[in-house]
Amino acid sequence: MASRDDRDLQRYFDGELPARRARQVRERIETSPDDGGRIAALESMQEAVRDAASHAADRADFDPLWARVQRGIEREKPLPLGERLGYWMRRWGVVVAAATAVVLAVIIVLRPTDLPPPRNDVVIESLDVGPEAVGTIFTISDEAGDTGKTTVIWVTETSAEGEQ
Amino acid sequence: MSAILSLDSFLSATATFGEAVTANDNTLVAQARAGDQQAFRVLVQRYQRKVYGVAFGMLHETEDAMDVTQEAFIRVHRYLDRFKGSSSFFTWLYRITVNLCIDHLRREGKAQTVDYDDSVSHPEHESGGQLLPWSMDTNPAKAMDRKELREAIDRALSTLSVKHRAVILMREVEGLSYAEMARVMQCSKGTIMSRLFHARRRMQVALLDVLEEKKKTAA
Repeated sequence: MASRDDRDLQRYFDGELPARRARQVRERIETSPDDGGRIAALESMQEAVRDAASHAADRADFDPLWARVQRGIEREKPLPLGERLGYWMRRWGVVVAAATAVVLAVIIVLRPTDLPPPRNDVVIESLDVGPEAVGTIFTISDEAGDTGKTTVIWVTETSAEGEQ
Repeated sequence: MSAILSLDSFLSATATFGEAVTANDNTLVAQARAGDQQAFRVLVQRYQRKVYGVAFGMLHETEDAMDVTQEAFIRVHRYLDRFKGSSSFFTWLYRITVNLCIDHLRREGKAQTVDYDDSVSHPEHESGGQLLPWSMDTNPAKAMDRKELREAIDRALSTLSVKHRAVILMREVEGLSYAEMARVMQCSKGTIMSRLFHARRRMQVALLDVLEEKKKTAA
């Protein structure tokens, strides 16, 4: 920790002491070469740090800065919905399309193949085609075997053969 | 006719710009908040050197310092609505700049993560913990030319922790008061005083080391 004297010297140098205390410290500095040397050292270093910072700023090119700041501000402005959507699609459209394709492929590959046979919800108990015709019921299995069946009702008129 | 109109609009625009240049910070902030780009441009031009000076002092890289300067103004613009004017615009801008520098150094792994704890006693500084008086032959500012001194200052600054670096730059370059620095660093005035004391002391030691090296090389 710094001694009280040193803290006061620093506060005096920085103009942070109340007036009365500042006057006391000033009197001390005037009579003490050591304290005077400390204040001179602080002044000297302050000047050197200031010069280094000023030199760095002198070498910097600030001409493009405003344009750069403006571009940054423009980038932050919310775009109209259409533009935002367009931007979003340009940026993420391919990724979303690819992800959708992968998800669909996974669903197709993993879908169960041994589905239970379809239930026969309609049972044909009798067929009334009238006195002039003969009715026949055919049940045809699909290519996939038991997974589906097609029922055909074949009606043959006894007077005009072959009509359905 | 169109030439006269153009001249009129030019004169009107330059008059507006001229008014903006002389306006105080709070007026410019209010105008910028209302969407006046010229007002914000004046603020940028008013503080670009100061912001860059601090950023360069903290980072020691011209490109990085310019990037931070740019980002500081973009952030200021982004959060203009949050600026209530309870502290000065300048202090607020400094806080943003210093935080960006600290973030940058942390990202780059260049920040000294162990900062001097200002609230505890440090025996190594107790014994020789005074501010150093400089005599004619031990004054680096007298014994080195300006270029050497600038390099020595840069080297000395780089030996400080980021928080110590920040207080040195804010105080020595910009002359911020303890209260303003406390607002920027979001700590007490006592902490600022302590940080400043230790930062100055370390700077002095580092500068004297450079001077010693120089003397040895010369001999």
